[in-house]
Order: sequence, then C-alpha cells, then structure tokens
Amino acid sequence: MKDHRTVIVIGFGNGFRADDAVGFFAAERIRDMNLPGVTVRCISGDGMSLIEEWTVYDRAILIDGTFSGLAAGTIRRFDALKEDVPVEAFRKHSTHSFGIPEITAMAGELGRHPAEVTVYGIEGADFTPGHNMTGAVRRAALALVARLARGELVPDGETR
Amino acid sequence: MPSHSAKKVKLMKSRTIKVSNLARVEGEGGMYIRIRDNKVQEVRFNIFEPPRFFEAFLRGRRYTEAPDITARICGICPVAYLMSACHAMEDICGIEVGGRLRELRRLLYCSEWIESHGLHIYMLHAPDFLGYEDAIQMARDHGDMVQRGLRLKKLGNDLMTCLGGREVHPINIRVGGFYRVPTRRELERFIEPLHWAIDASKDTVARVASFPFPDYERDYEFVSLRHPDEYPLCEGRLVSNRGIDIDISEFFDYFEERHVAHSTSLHSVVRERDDYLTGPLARYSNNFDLLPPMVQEAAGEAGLGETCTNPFKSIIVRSVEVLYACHEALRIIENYERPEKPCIEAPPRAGVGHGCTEAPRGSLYHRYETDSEGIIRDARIVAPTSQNQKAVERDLHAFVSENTKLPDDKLTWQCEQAIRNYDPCISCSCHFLKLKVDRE
Repeated sequence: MKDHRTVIVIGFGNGFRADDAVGFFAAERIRDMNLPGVTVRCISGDGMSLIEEWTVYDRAILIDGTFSGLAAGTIRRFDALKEDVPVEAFRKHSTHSFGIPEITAMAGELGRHPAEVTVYGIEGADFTPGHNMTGAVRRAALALVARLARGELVPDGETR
Repeated sequence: MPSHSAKKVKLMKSRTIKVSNLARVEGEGGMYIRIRDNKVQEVRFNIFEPPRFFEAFLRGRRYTEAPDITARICGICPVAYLMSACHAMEDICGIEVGGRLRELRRLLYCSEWIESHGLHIYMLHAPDFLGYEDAIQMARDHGDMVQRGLRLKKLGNDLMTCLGGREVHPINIRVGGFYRVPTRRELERFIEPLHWAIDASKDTVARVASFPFPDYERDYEFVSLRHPDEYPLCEGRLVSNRGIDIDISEFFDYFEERHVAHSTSLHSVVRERDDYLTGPLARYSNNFDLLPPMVQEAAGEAGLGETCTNPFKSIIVRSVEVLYACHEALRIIENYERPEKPCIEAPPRAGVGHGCTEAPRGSLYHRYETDSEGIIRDARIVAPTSQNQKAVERDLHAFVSENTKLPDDKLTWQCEQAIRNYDPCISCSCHFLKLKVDRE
C-alpha cells in the first residue's frame, strides 16, 4: 500500500512566449518544493503520450495559460472528469499536437486517467515570442502554487 | 462528415464551398478549386503561413549552429533537420561519421519515423477512413487502435529522449556525432517494447489495409534517396523512377524551386519535366527490394505490390515503414556497443556542402556555403512539403475531375482526406488549409 496519494503536476506551454510560460513557471515552483509523492513535468509539445503514463498516479493537476478574454491573471479550475475543458481557451501548440482539452477528452474516452484530473487555466495577456511573463500572470501563478501547496498537493493525513 | 463546416454560398450551377481551416495537417493555408460546367479549371494551394526566413538568419552563424537552428523549423521532424544539416556541414569539413555513431544516427531517425508516422496513422489519418471527425471520436469505437497508436508514439518519444535528450527538438546532436552517447543498458530497456512494437506494427499494416480505398492511381515521378545496402534514412543517391540517379550535390542541377503567387512556400519541380513526389510512396516504390523479408511479407499480405501509386494507400505504406523502423531499431540496439567517443572532430573549412535525409514526409535537402572560419555565408533548405506541393495540386485536380458529381460536403471531405494522404507539414514548407470550391 502507498503511504499517501501520488500526484503528477504537469505544466504546459511555451517558455519563450511570455504568458504562455505560466504553466512551466507554476510547475517549476512546485518542483522546487520537493513535496512528497508529487512528480512534476513540463510539456511544450504533444502531451497525448501522457495517457500512456499517468494512470499510475492518483491525481493529475494540469496547468496552462488561457486566452479567453478574461482579465489577466484570472484563474479557472476545471474538473476534467466531470466537465469539458473549453478548447477555445487553451492554446494549441501545433496542429500536429494535442493540448489539454484534447488530452483530457481522449483519456476520458479511453478510460485511462488518474482518479482525479484537475485543470487550472491562468489567463494570459501577452503571448509574444521573446517577451517575459506579465506581472499579473506571475502573481496569479504564485498564488495558485501557494493554494495548491496548502490544499491539493498535501499528502493525506497531513495539514499545512 | 467534413471535419468542419462546409458553407454553401451559392447553389445550382455556380457553387462555392468554403472550409475555414483544414484540420489534422501541420500549419496554415487554404485550397481553392474552381469548377465550370463540371470541369475542374483550377486547383491552388493557398499557403499563407508567413515565410520564416530561416535561410536568411542562418547567414552569419557558425557552422556548428545550423543543426539546432534548423531543427526549430519543425517540431514533428526535427531529427530530419538535424541530420540533413549535420551531413551538409560534415561534407564541408571533409569528415564522414561512420561505424557505431552512424548506427546511432539511424536509430535516432527510426525514433522520429515511429513517432511521426504513428501520430499520422492513428491520430490524423485513420479517422478519415473510419468516418470520424477526429481521433477522440474514433476512440469511442476503436479504443484499442487509438491506444496502440499512443503506445507506439510514446515508444518513439522515449527513444528520442534517450538519444536526443528530449522528445521535441532534441539537443544532443552535433556536427560530428553526439554530445553524449547512451550506454548499452540505457538502450536495452527498449528491446522488449520494440518486440511489442513489431507485433503491433504488423497488426497495424493488416488493419489499415482493410480500410476502404478509392480506386485511384496516379502516374508519379517518385523521388527518394536510395542506398546500396539499406532502406534509406540518412544517406544515398537521389533517384527517381524516371531515370534520375544523382549525387545529392547535383540537386539544383536537376530540381528547381519556383515561386508561385498563391503560396509562401516555393514549388519544386524536376527541371526537365514537372512535378514529382517524395515521401513514403516514393521511398517504398524506389526501395522495396531493400526492405527486410519480414517487412516485404507484411506488405504483400496487405495487398501492396512492389510499388504503390494510390495516394490513399499511403497509410498502409506508412505502417510498413513503422514496421521497418521498429525492426531496424531493434537490430541496432541488439548489436549496440557504446562508441568510445561521442563524436569526431569537425574542424571548420571553407566550402560548399550538401545533406539530404529522408524525413517522414520525404527527402529534406540542405546546402550550405561556409568561409574558412566556419561562418555560414549561404543556406538553402528544400523541405518535403514544398517538393510535394505541386504534385498534391495535380493530384487534387485529377481527383476532383473524376468526382465532380459528388455533393459538396462529400467532395470537400474527400479532398481534405486526399491532402492528408501526404501528411503535409506547411510549417516546414514555408518554412495550409482553407478549402474553397468554386463551381459554375
């Protein structure tokens, strides 16, 4: 038996495209915490292969930038096993690759996913290649990381 | 059904169909078909993805930078760019990477074929034949097939990561070899998955061969590499089924790139003739005799002859090539001994060099000129999709001509499918696709 739940945190995006880096930024902050039972990955290309490997975890937390017209830094949470993740909000990295909405939909069809799959979208303002992340998005990412560290990433039986 | 809305603007004698974006191809562009009195007047690819100027910004960079810079042209076939650039620079340096390092390069190339072909067969092309809008919908009824595709693709990704440092835009490849070569133990873990992959690939060849294919054959000039001893990946002479048999350094003596107004991608033609085709159909038809007997047998059982001229059957040929890539990868790993050094010295030299390797979509040619310090003075890159662009247009012209009586939605659907036969990578070629059918 496992001592505690295992979680995989996956940051999506493009580290060279301003607020598109927010998934990576948040995931790397979580990696820095060395939390027990927490595995962190960053994906800039096709994430569909995740379906072949993430079933060993109890929970998956996916983080990516969104561009849906909301205020920069707005955080949205989706329970991907109970609701559709809006395709129009998440940037697709390539027509040959698949983003979070496609991955979660495919995993649902195949029944290959952790027991819980949560998606966080952080609204970006600037996706210009070569630009740095904007302040509002950076602050939102740090707030999300702090929230996760107090809640969804805490192993069972522990409190922080 | 079409993968997106086909909007009828006009009815009766004059009709226009617009498709805002062709799905399941890489890049941005459109297609225009003009039909008058049930005769096709014009077919155009309108490639509007912006030109990317890679050849221009390679000038002034060091010869050692070309592989990593050009790999950024494509996230699907970066190995092809890495290897064509490396070969061209090594041609200038006067070195040849052979032996175990050459085998590792072939293994790296196999990983890209498994990954790229696997994605196209299962995720992008199979839904066309089985009548689904996309792979996600297909997964509802054919979950086993989709899952097999994902597993194959992951195997390609993992092998790429092992050899290249990461699965997209690998960073472990350099002029002269690698920065680091794997240990035998690191590669041995792929033996069992590759045995599974060979069985899975054989099943895939048989499965896709059972798809319904239009009775449609084309008279192509097939252009590909050909090597005396092996199915071509990285090396060989450029050959065609109409008599071309040249060293790759003669590329521009026989082939020409032309600008056309409706495309930001250049069209390539055979100077003395016209359009030609590169890619799986060409490779297979020019090199069938070099496939291992087990792969030839699987192709034969799937109903393929020694050549294949039905572009819709490219999905079978890609599956045959995945089988080959898995077989070749296993052979290389089982015989692997770690090279003593990860690379050989490649001192800069003034000169002109050529590289041509077989990207999943076809032959990818690079030509560079460097000065004595190794600074790139000129660069030319001819991507497979730009080579195939005119053949695709001609193909569509013929296909639509035979099928003008089809209703708009079905014609649109089959045209999209016809385009996906080529697994085009527009991002590469401009370094595609809106569809418009204009009927009167």
